Amino acid sequence: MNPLREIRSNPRQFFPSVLVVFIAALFGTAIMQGIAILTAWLSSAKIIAESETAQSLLSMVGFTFFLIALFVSAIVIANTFSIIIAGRSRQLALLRLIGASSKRLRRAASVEGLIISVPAALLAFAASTGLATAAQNYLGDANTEEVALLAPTMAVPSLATIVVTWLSAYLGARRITGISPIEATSQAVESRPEDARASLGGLTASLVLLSMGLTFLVNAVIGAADHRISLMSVVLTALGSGLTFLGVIIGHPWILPPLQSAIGWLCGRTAVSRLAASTIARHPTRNARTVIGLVIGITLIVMFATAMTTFRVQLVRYARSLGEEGWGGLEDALATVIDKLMLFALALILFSVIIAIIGVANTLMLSVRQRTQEIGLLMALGQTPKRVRRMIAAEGLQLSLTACVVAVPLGIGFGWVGALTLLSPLLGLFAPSVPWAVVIAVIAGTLFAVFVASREPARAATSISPVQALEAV
Amino acid sequence: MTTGLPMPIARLREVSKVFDTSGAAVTALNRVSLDIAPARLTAVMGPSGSGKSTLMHVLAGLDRPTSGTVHLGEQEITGLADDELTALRRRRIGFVFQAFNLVPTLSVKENIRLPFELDDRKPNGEERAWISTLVARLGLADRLKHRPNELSGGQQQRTAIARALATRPDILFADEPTGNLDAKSGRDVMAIMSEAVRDFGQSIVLVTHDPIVAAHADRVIFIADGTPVTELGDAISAEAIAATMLDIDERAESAVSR
Repeated sequence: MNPLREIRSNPRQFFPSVLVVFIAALFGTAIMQGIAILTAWLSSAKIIAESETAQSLLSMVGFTFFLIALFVSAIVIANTFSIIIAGRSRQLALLRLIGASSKRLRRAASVEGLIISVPAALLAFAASTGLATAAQNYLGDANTEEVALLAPTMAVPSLATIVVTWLSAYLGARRITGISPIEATSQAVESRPEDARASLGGLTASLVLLSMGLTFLVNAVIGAADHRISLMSVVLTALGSGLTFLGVIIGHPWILPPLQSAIGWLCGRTAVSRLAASTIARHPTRNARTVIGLVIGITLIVMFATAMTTFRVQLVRYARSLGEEGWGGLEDALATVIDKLMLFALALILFSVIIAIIGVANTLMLSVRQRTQEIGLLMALGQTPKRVRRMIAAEGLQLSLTACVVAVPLGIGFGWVGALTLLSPLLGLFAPSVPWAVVIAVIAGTLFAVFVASREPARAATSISPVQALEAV
Repeated sequence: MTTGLPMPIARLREVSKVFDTSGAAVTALNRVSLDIAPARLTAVMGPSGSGKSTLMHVLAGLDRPTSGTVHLGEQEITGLADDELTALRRRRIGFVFQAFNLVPTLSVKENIRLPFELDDRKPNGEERAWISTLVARLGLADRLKHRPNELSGGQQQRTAIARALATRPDILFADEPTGNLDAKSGRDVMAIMSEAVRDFGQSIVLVTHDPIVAAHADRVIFIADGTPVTELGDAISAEAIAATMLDIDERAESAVSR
């Protein structure tokens, strides 16, 4: 009820959200301040003359990546709050019964989001400014131009993160509206799952977006085969990719749960992984929301890597096809530049992936907490702590595997069509060059990070004795 | 106390409630008409599934009847919007349940004052005096700073009663309030309820399946299959109630075997 008290009485459940807010705000502020320093240095070193144009261009690119990270953070935070609210539904029903309106309870819950985000964002701003100051000191005399690290615009990422957290908490607390005061009168402890499917409007929107996006993309491929590509088709391809991806994101409550079950079934030979799969299936929408954050990050990484690798491979092939000389070594220089750009883009998206991985760990943690009794029962029936830990790790791995299954093909597809649109006037239709190293590194990295992240929830689950777990109501 | 026919504190007229889950309609209340007298302890009894909980939910405005009207005092509550019902619950109705009555993060004092806080106000001097009286009467004076999990089951129920009475509600609904208690604590809770009726003129509706608990009531209404079948007004004793319950059960069984 009282937001501050809720946070103080159970601060640990908010820790992941605080971390997510911190990372997102730090990332955004660091981009802004970093670009300011970079352009000041470049211009004082007389490398580029018009620092203004360069700065605004760089800022735009950087800000786009920040927005992506912010979007993933919003999903993670909304999911966190909806899980926290689900765990609190008995108490909320009691408050409804005694006469609290659902509007009021929802507002109180969103204020919790505001309260946790402010210190985290301020801290991120301070940390980024500290880093920027250190960078400036390091540059020393090489940088003669003044850099306004504390300009009002530098506060925009932190403020944006605070506002987004607040709104996400409000969205995540949507379930409160559906809590009936009668729930408080029943003796049953098990509350109904919070998984009302998203609205039918969402499904319709998703289908419309998907069909439009896919039409554009198929058109682009056909156009590439005919060598007829114009600036217009470049725009249409970008639009097609964007719409398709948006369709997947909006449609995730329908697209992901069947895949989650399929993956669970494929992994499900042992009792451990079957238990994990059935746990995931119990809250399909909650887990789909967890997975979609990862899908966004991984898709973007694979997309950039595929697009740039394909672009580089085809460019070099084209240059070589012109004759022995090619472009006289220029193509090799270009290839190096493309590779560096790719690494730069990947590093920027990595932040979104890290935020999404925190989201997975967080979902595992909260779902373990809400299953204290059930895990106690399993252990009382003879499940060893080791197998309980393995079960929770299996949950995390199945979720991230689902994300990879969706994200890798999407990323390869988008990247391929992107490269195709740009180069088909020269080369016609060509196959994508899949950057296997990047794909494998992303999958392995995600699985490993999620495995590591599942250890803390697993420890928490097995640290209580079965007797305690069964008593805790 | 008996001045002819007092205005009923709650009134049901031709109330039906049909639950329609997955096509199979279940009639929980079947055209029930009932008056609840003020300043009385009215017990509602019946086997599980008889509709007694639904009756209470409908009376308290927690659930809307499929047809019929419900009045609380002069006011018809059947057509009220959710916000109005919510305000009604925090100002004019008190609730006590078998368990989970208290907010675990709040102290006893804060739990008791919660209805006022939800109304965005602080209790005034008179209300504070009333709360102090309640707290002293219910033996919670030295427990005010404790959290619910530091209290015994009986103390938790007494805190819930104090909260329910703090706003001087028109009517108090108690659903199996002694269900989780040992015999002695259960007797204490029922003694407190009887005192609230006798000394403060509180109207209470008590839902229970325990004849010993129901024996504290001024009137016992028996419900079977969504309809009041009979009632006891005087000569109420646990034995008489148990005999009536047994009678209802036997009639139901012979109806099935026939």
